Amino acid sequence: MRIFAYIYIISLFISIIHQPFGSYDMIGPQLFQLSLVNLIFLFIAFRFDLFNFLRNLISSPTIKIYLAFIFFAFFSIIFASDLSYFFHDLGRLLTSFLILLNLSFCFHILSQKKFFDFFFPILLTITFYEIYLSVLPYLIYFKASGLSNWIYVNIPPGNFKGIAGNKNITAALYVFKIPFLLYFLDKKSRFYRLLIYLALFLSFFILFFLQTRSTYISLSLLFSFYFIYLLLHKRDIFIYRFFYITSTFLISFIFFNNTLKSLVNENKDSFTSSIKSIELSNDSSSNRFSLWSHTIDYISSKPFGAGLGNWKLESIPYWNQVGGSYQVPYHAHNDFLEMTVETGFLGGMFYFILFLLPMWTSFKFSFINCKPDYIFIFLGFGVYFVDAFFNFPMERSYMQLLLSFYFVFFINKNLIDS
Amino acid sequence: MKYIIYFTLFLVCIFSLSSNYLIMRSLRAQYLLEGRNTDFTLAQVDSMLPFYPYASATSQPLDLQRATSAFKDGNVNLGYKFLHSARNQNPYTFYPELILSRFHLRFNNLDSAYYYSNLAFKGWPKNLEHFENHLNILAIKGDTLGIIESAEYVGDKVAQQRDYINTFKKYINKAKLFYLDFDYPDARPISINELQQKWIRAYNFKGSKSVLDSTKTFSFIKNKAVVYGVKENLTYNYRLKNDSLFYFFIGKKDPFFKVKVLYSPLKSTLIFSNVKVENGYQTQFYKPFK
Repeated sequence: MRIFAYIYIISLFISIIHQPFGSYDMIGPQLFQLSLVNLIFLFIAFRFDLFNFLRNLISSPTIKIYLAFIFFAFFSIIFASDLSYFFHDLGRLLTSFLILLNLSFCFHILSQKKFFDFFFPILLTITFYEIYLSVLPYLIYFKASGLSNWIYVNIPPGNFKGIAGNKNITAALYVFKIPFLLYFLDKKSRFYRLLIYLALFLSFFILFFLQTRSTYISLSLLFSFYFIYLLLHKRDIFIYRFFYITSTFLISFIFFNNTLKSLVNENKDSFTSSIKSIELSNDSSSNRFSLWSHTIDYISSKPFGAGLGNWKLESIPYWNQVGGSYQVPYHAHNDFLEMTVETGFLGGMFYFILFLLPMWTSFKFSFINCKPDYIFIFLGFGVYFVDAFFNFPMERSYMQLLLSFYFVFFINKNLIDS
Repeated sequence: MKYIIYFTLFLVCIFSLSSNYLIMRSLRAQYLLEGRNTDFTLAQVDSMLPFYPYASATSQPLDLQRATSAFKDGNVNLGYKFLHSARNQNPYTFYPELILSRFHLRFNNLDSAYYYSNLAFKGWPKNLEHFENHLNILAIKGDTLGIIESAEYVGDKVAQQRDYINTFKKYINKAKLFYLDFDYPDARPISINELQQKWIRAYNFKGSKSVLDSTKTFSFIKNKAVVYGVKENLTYNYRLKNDSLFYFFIGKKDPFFKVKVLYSPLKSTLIFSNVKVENGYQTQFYKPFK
């Protein structure tokens, strides 16, 4: 069975990066391939001890909350004005849940060590592959025109979007993988640690170019909590870790700054201006305050929600005088509010608890009880929480896949510990 | 119990696979159709787009694609049917209503065109196309008050304020022309005796008094035409031949300007046809200066 688990994990990542058909949005082929891989793996898993594993898994509070959320999401069909949107989002939600079940089964049959030993090279490879895709437009440019025209090159943030559809998602993906990279810093030998630092260096470098404010927030929170944790519970490695990570960050920043200074066309202080522009106002947050107030307005009049997926339609009237032409928001830019407005108060509450529970448990276990590894789960969920607060990671299948790894890590570790 | 769980998981898997397959097909079709919808026949569009989901990745109803292709195929009735089903697929952005309004306008169904343009504009005023289409129909109806009300409805909430103001100016002027009297059935060539007097630019509106424009006046005296200006007057020679009036610079033989001229005795109006102006040609009306 182990070989199938390995193949399944690899297939999940191939589903994300393999784009065989042209598509308006890459999420289409990604979701289809993921659900196909799920189906094949389930057929194989049926032949092994899946049932007993599921019986054990269902005792996890996280899975219970996840199932309760799915129940309320399904129940919202009663209030859905458009079934097309409902089934669209239900299919996506169930695909993510099935990945979680299957990955948990893989974790169960492989054990934590083997699971992560196998996951590590995949994570590192895909990180470098994403970095390659981010800089690919420039590699093509320099190959065609040579390095002599270096100073005239343009570097709009959108050029670095790489594997994702836009720069915000790309940036979130880089940051979301950092807790796992930090986890492997503790587990791997010097050579692999060097590779991890290289991945961190290049990730920071691309993140400076991407200029996404929400990821700067999550990045600063991530490292603040990480260093506090080390200072409290792992003082022996705190100095080294702090020194190496800060050096990696600073060298990356110096490298980025020198690159920027050597160009003639660019805004020299784009990074600092991006940091300075982080403020709590509607204009500076791309109308997020308006989007959020619309959801609150709607849910206060319809507490059972609009039906799963139907906020895409029901939010449109709020925008009939805002923005240009046929511009519609499509998302609430806050997954918690979006789930509340779609599945009602109860659905939204379960969705919120689904993230609050692992965050609180892992925070308690890492900072108070000093149990190993929970800090990385806390950091991973923290990064996702910040992204979900400002964007819509629930829509992106790659984010959901990485989230499933954090869920699997948390659920199974928690089951073993308890 | 085991088999119930397995069967449920299997059903969930099959459902998500089917749903994701249809979404993938739809997104692929949208990728192919984007910006190239006129290149595909209805049969091709139907073979590409699955029955589900109904809306595109930007919330636009996909039956609009089918409607466009049906119209291109010459199947007007089917196109019209798709436009109505598109209204149900996204009842909020009112793009199908805009197309329906244009459709009825093409067939001179002014009331239906107005009905849909009103829905499109009131429902989604931030799109300049909705505003322009609605104002165009109001201008055709001569509804100047309706145009002013529409501009007030938009207010300063929408972006592109300059474009909205320019559109408003364009159609309020067009609406005013609706009341201008172009109907002179008794118009005939004018005699030299009738011509030789002082004239003033006039706007004759249906059912109301003429509006006179004192900045445009001129006189015909013997063989001299005097055009009165604010600072100085200009004098030319002129010649009337049948229904044509020729202007000459003093002492020159070749005319520098000619215009078709008619006279309506019933409305005491001199009519200059196809006078070249800055942006094209216009018909101008003059009344005897009293």
